[in-house]
Amino acid sequence: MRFANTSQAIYFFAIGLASWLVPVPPTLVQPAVAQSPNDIHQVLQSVQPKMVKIFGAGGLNRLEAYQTGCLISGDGLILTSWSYVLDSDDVAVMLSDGRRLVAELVGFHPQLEIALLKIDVAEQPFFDLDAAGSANSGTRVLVFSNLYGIATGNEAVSVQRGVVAAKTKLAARRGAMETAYQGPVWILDAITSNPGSAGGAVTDRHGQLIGLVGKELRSSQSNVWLNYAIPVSELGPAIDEVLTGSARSRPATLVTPDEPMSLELLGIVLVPNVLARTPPFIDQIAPDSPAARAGFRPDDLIIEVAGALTPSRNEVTRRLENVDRDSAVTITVQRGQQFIKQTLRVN
Amino acid sequence: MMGIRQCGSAAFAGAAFMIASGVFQGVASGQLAGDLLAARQAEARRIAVIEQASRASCSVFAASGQGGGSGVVISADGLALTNYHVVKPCGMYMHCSMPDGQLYDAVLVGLDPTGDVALIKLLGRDDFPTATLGDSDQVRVGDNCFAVGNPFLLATNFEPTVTWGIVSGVHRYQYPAGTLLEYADCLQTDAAINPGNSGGPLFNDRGELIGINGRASFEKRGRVNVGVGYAISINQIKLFLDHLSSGRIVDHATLGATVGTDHQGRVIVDNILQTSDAYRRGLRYGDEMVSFGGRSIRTVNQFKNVLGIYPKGWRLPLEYRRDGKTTQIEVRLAGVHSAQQLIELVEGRQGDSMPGPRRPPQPDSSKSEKSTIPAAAKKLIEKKSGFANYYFNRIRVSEIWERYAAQGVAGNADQKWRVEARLADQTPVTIVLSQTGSGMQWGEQAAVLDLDLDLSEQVIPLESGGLLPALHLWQRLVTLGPARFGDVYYLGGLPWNGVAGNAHVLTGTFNVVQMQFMFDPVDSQMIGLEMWTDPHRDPCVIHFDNYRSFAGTMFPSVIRVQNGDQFQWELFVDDVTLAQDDP
Amino acid sequence: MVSLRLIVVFTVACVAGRDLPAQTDADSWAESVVQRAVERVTASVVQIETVGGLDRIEGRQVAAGPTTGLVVSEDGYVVTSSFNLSQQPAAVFVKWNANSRYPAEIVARNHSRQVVLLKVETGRATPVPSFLPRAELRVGQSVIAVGKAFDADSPNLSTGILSATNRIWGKAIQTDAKISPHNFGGPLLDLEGNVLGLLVPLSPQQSDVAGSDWYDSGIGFAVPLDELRLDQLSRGQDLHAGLSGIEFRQDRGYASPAIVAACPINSPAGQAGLKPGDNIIRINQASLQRATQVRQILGPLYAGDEVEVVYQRDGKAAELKFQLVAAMPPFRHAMMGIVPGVTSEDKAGVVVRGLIPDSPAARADIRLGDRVIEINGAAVANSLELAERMITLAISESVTVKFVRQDDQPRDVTFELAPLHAEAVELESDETLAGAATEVKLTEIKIPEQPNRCFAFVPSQSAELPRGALLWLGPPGKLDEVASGKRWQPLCEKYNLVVILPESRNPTAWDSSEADFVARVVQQSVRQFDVDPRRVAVGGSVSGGVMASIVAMNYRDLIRGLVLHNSAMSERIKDVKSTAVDRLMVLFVVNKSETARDRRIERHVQQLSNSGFPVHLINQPAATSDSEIPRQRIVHWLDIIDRL
Repeated sequence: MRFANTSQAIYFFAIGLASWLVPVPPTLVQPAVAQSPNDIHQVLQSVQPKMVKIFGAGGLNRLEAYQTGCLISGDGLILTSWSYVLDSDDVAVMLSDGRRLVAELVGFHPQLEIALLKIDVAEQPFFDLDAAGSANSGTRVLVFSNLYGIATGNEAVSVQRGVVAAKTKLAARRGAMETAYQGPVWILDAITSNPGSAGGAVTDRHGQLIGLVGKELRSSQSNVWLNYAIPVSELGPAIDEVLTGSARSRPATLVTPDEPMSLELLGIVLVPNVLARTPPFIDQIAPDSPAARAGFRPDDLIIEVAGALTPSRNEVTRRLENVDRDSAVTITVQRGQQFIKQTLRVN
Repeated sequence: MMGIRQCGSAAFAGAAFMIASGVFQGVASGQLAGDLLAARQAEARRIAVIEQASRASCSVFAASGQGGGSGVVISADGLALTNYHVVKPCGMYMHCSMPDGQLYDAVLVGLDPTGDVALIKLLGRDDFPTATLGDSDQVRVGDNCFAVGNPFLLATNFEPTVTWGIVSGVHRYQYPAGTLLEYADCLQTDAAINPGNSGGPLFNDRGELIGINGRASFEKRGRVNVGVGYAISINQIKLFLDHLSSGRIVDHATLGATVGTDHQGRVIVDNILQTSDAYRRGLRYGDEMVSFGGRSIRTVNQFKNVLGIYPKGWRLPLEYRRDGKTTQIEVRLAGVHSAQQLIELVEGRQGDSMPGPRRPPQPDSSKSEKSTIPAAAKKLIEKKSGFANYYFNRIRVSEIWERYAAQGVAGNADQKWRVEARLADQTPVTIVLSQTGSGMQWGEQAAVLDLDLDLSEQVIPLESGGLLPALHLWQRLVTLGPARFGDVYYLGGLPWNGVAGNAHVLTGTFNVVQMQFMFDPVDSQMIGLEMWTDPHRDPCVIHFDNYRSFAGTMFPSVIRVQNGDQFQWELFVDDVTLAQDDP
Repeated sequence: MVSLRLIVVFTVACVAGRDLPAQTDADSWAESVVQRAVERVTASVVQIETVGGLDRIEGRQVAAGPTTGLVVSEDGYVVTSSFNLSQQPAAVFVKWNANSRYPAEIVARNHSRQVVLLKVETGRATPVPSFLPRAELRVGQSVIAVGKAFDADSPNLSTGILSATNRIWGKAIQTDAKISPHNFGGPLLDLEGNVLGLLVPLSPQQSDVAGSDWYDSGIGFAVPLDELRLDQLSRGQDLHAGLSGIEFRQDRGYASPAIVAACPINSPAGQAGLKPGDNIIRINQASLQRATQVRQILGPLYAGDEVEVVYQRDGKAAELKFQLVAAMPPFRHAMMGIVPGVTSEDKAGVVVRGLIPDSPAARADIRLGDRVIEINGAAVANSLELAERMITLAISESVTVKFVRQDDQPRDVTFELAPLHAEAVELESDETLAGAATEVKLTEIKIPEQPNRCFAFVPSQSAELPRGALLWLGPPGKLDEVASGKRWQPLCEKYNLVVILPESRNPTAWDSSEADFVARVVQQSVRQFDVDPRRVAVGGSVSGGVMASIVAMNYRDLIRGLVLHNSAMSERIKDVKSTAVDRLMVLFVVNKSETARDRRIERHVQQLSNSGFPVHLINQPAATSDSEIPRQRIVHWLDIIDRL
């Protein structure tokens, strides 16, 4: 299902869940004709009315009670980031003209951590996700968000400019991320990781939506705040799932085998684990063990297990836990300046 | 051998460069080559604009070498803008470095602590490179802009840092700390603004000065830019420039009323002082703000944005709605602080006012205070309470007075003036002015001033708000001059009916009466005055028009008198005689 | 061709900078151009992986994740930022793409530019980018920062402009592109993919991770490749910044003249014959007037480089040459053993307000109240001149001092100078020497842009000697100025001392980024309360002490004494050295606890005195509770740290 008839979706969906969702009449709103102005001022004029300021829970111990949202249907469907701000009975939405309206939570998507709100308006300009722009690294972008809640009333939300720095998967990022989302994201060359930015719009130079500003995240190891956005390509299906109520939490991590592989089984003893990041040097090899048969020796440095780099001793054991003890595992060691890659199997 | 290939000369003329460095090894498509040309041209333009504009930027340091910020020179004789919070630790003498690699002495000129603006003067040249002032009301979100300054004080070789970005927001309002450092109607940019950029210029991409960077949202990472910087709009500073040049500590304005948003989202008066001019003009509790200072008001911030950019004493049009009916008034803005409050806020935290008696200066401390001020700077520094640097006020007063005197108006001390005039309805009016005693006769009535009583007690004629005492003090200034009048100083510039630009204002007090004398910005002719016998009442406002020669002296031939909304007089002068005073 | 020529003319006209039309910025970073520029270097930008190593450096977490490097030769030499290897990994790998991992060897380090040279054997020619030398650069030109921290196959990029062409004392160029661990070690490009420099975190303070907390701030640095001396590095030769041993007095900031304040005889400049008082007017053909210009000229040079100095002595110009060195022995101050008092209006010279027991001066029978008027035949007007003279004299150098007692005839004594020590000695009178003050006022100190609260206890100026100042960093969190006031107030009065108590921004911890705030508090207090800059100390208990050590070591020009109560120094402090002009004494006060803390403190005491700092350690009786600060002893120590 796509967006020309969102409101129908909500309508049918509503009948299913009338208990907590206000049914809205199925007015069929056509998206405004997508023209692509080149003058940045025209672009800003065309985008600003599609942006909303969201006010909800928070305000305590340095948690801001505001964030940003994007209108994605003419009758007031709003796409935003799923956060504690929405965890409130009275979430208010302020339109670019200063009108303040009560918002209903339509639903949220646990993986993407996005949410849909509904306000009661008609013929409001909105981002047409069918006509959404695409991007790759180097694409120049504009970012619209109410960071720091600077804009109040009918004041326009803040605009930043940058480029798409890279496309990557959050899971592939350095360090552990405090988020459920593991999918692809745009890393942005603009400082969007700020209070209130979440739910903001990332558009191309022509004002076409290409992504939604994610919540504030930093790598717990490098301490670098991440400026990222969730691509439209990921948003579309997720929004459908929310509207059809099929969005469910799935376990983010892999299921580990009941009987996992272990260093003992392979006949490998590593140097004692003294540091947070002890290098996985082999200390001893059990005679005629799989490791011995593979030709591994003491002082070899394990650098790869099952195709993944093993920066530390802990990482080696963690990787092995994801391998079933009955299946083969490839291990690469460094000896001097050469790599030795072997496939090991327990008997 | 380490084979780093160095490529050919990079002239910044797109085409020339492309050929020279043989980019794309000939495989580039025509489209690409075209894009590169466009990019190189835009780049060359940017380089040229930045090169031109940054010449006027400077860094500001305390003479002890500690601390510091940025600034920008706006006049060839070295007047420069920076932040109040940058110069505050420096005192009245400081050092300024410029991109030409030179270090200049500089002195404080004026302070606007509420607006976080300071005016300083660099010394040693009369041909400083200057910034072109732009029009910040024309700035639109999305415009390119760039900041020049000394972030993290990295410019050890005096080469400034340039950061490029766009305008992220306009007409932003950022709350003050207490009553100081309020950023009203300011610009927001994503050009990197870091500690040390404070006081430095924000330029548009034509190299025009649109703001003074002073503030950024540092909450998140502690004193490191996170994409949100604010600049004081240059248009606000233009309104204050005359005031700042006065060497005073200048004050911002209040309406004497506060506004809030009601449940329908209307901006309404939720508090008003009965002593305020707004109240006297008819504004009341519950009235809805429609427009203020020519801008329509739909949020409290919009109201604060207007109020925050004008100096104390300014007059602004205000439109309010009551019972569906809208009314237009003109209100005079009062000061945010009392004179005493301002002094305490500014000087109270400066070195001058330490607790306890000061130790007599010793060879030791004077030597440890290595910042011995050079003579050239010393003679431009005069301390006086209430002034950032009294020297500049003294100079402005004498400039204005000399040019006024050159109009052939000033008389001498022992003169008696006799003025014969008519009102519009032909009622004859005779006024005699002398510092030994003044009086007037109008129609059937007559009165004289008793100089032994407070002038404020002698409001003659009553409904005029005190025409006679006002003219008496006018004669006092004209015949005695500012030095002998009493406490007279230069206030700055204020709008005045019938003058393009602002009138220069000399203000003075005679016992308890407050006077403001208005001078034409072009020829320094005195074009009017205002007198308050009571700060909470309407002043007696007098316009001097159509100067003519009477008995060889230039004298206004039309004198218009106004008091509040009720009283209006127009005096047509028939004859003036100047006689020796015979007490 | 015609059109091309037209464009040339047009752009040149623009460079001349006459009324320029507003531009929409989009075209200046046309996507196609940026992408093409990045493509040109993609094959030369590599991803760097590490195995093993530390997870904390100088007290902060470091990333284990992949970083970036740049190929600089066809035979597999790769440069990267030393930040990327600061965790000292067991193994380093280089990847050109997702499935080509090569082991890399660390060949050499350029400590001046924070760059590491790696060698990789790939068995094939590695593509090398072309680069532009500094001379070709223009502030405002478009730049692109490239990294491979996310993906070895496709680089990540950030666009910006060149912000400055000469930074960090001539070592780097500066950009407002977003520079961070995502591209440290990668190249900064122009619009055509030419390399302008290698992206590295730098800051005026040198260390492996210095400057990294400015990531993404719009303040980023790159070091030009041709200034890295890759040839020397490739021969396995580490490079260090070059030191001369010349010190200047900078108490007038940038206005301070290039007059040598000190250059120890064992320093290159000293050996070459440069002397305190010499006025440097030219170095390597560049003429100069200000002290900072000397540092600016020497900044980019390396140890081993030859410098040519033209200076003026007694009005005559002379020239000398010497070689810069990598490391200098620490400066050790010499001491006579007098505590200088105030100089009276009418009588020049330095009145002795205290004598260090068993010091050369004491043994030479100089007494309290004597007035020192000459040293080695040259008059000294006041204690500041005497201090300036002392740093030009060496330990065990013999000096002749002329002094006056009451109004007798001046007499000479000659003795050998002893090493300056920091001992908290009891002086003849246990009365305070600074003299007592009467009423003490509580004053709030507000620093612009800073949320922190801060209070000062300021005695009225009754004593004739200027006040000393102690900035004390208590535990983080809410400051009870009244309560702590009660404890300090009597001492403020007795010792005519200003005590300053700042509050931490964050209620749970002092953040090293607050050092700047603390330093500004000290600056403002010295100015506002008329403090004697030679008796300014910063100190603290436990975590406050750690913070105090950061302030003292990073603001040496401000701080003369450091007091650490039950606290070791910050892990961030690396190879600091005592210098002549910025003299610093350290006092440790420890309640014996037989813990790791004590061992670290002992190590630091050793380390500091090896670095030439006068250090004193007071061990409290085991009974004393940790919360109880020996204020009296600390203040007494501070009262005489201006000893000469």
